[in-house]
Amino acid sequence: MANDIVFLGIAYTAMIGLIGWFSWQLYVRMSHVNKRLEAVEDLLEKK
Amino acid sequence: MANSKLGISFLISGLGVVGTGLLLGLFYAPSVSSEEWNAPEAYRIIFWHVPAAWTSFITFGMLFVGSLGWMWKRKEWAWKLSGISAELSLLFGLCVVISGPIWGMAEWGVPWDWGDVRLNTYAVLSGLALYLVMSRKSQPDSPEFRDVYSGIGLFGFLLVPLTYFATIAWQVRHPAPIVGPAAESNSVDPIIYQVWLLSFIGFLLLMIGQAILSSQVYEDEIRLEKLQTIIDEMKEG
Repeated sequence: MANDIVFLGIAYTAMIGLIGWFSWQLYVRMSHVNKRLEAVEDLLEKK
Repeated sequence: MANSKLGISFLISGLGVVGTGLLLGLFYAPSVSSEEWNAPEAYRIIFWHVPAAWTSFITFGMLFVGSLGWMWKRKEWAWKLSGISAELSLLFGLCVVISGPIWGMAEWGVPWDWGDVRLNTYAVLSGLALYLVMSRKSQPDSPEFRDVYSGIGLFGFLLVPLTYFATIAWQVRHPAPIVGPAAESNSVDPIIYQVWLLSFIGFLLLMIGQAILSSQVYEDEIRLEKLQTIIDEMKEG
């Protein structure tokens, strides 16, 4: 029974980790692109 | 920016609904008999495993539409859709491919059965999504690459019906289909079915949110590339 619950815990930890990691990577990529876009737009305005 | 807010709203709503599905699966769904099942608690893995698999079939369907749209009409939206759906197929495919063997280890005593066609076709499907995501990140964007990529995306979709019907034609270990034309009626407890549906709605909302945000990132990256080209031309001129 205890072993059984460990398997359950591992499975959900893995799935939550995967979904969290993917969403976090998406957020980081979005922030990075936004910052670069703002910097390039500022540069173009100055020129 | 409005798209980002919409995407985040879908994503957070989806997380809330799948979280509720998980809690209901853990604490509300009925227990199974310890005489009939070797792992009566680990069975609760199915409350995300099954809806994640349904969602992955939808994302593989989106990959098919995107790949077909590129091969047939050469539309940029189709190329974008195939990229987004390959990433989402990989995410939900991995959820299924990781949680399945953990349950198999608890229930069957082995994580994988190479003689079970359903397991193998689904693993190939997820491997294909991994290949598409990796190749898109590593290869230069060219019409030839897009054709090969879309061809593989189209081939991948053929594995979806094969995976679905595999448990009917060659059932070894994986349980038979529980929804769709090949499902047996009343084969699942209504409460289990309701929790699955709730988690499926949550995964759909999550997937839509991630798709909207990915689409926004793709568009921003293209815009950034265009602006950088203008700056480079200004420097040269």
